[in-house]
Amino acid sequence: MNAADDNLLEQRSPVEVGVWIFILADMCVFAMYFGVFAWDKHLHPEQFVQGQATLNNGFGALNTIVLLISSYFMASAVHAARAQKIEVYARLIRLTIVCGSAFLVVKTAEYTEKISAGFHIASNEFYRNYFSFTGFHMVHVIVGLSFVTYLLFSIRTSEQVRANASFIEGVGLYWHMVDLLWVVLFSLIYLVP
Amino acid sequence: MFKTYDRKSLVMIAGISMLITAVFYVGGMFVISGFLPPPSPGLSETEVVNLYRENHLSIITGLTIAFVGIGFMLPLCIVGSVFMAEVEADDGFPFFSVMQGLCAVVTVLFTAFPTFVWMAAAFRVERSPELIVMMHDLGWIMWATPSWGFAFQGICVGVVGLKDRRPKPFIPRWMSYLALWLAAGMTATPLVPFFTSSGPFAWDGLFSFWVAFFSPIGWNTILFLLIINNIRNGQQELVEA
Repeated sequence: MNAADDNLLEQRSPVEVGVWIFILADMCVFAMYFGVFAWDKHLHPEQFVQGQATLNNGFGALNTIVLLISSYFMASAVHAARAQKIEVYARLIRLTIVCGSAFLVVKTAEYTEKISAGFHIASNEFYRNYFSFTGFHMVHVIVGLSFVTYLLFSIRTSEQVRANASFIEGVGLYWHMVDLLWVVLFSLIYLVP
Repeated sequence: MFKTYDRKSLVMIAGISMLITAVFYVGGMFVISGFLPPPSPGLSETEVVNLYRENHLSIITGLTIAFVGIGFMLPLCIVGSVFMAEVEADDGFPFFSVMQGLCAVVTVLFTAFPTFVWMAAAFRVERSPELIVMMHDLGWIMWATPSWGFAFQGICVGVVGLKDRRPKPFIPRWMSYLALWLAAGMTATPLVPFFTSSGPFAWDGLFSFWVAFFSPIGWNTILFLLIINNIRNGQQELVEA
């Protein structure tokens, strides 16, 4: 990629090219997770039907709603930052953190329910996929929350917001990726028969 | 704060260290001992013991060469820390550069220790099969599981790379993002001890071995090519951004 391409991409998006590369690379890994899930499901269809029946769709749906709302807050926060509405930006960032934390609480409750029922990561192929892939996603949520919390505490004045516009956009983009990945995981693991 | 006395020689040291590590480690582990790609954790006791008894000499030879190669990771990583410290010089104590250097020591140790464990298993192949299997498992779990040293190295390189706002940063910014991604790619390795037979998280699995082992090799290969390009162009920087 030459400097002209870089400039063109930067004109279209204020986010650095590197952030897009990171997101693309991360999504490639998740694409592999989805491939492994599909392959295991093909090899052990009965195990997957039985395993899916033990999942609590309520927890999954609740987390989907929570993350979608958090994405709305994050996108609005980025808009507020662009418009230099600092108080609105800070409020929306706080709301994003609340939603992200709620996701973690629901996920912990769900894991506790499964582990109490005697299921664990090595129980069978379905549970290996379920615990590992949702677990990796949860790590992504924790990393995303760390960045969003950093925004709240370290980028709070209008000068800081102006100086770190690209970083704020990058964090927003990462958060949307985490949200998008969850929607695919939820559909794949909980819903698709 | 940190003035590098001869940058060109440091770039040479980095390139040569990288080459020696790659040739010795690949030669020792893949070609001579046949330990990589890893044998399946699902091998029976007899199969594991036969692996050591039938390949006694090649295992010892290959692991010794690989062990020597691992040591050359250290000069490479410390050269990296020197270039990183220049970026951090204005901030005071170069936290990420020192952290990267220390984590490199951890990476080197946890890559070297398993070779000793496997060598000990091959040392007296007539000993009890249970002991050989135990050392075989110990070596592989030690080799595949503790990747956090390398993950922290990736984070440190990525953070300093992104902090580097000079016209010629010590690595291109996209390489910094990829370094952060490498750290994320290590997430799967702590799952290795859960899987005793096969699967993507077993020590020979898709995520625990193929992704976790080859993605850093890919990153380092790009770095090596950038370094070579710089040496050819007589540049004083580690790589030309």
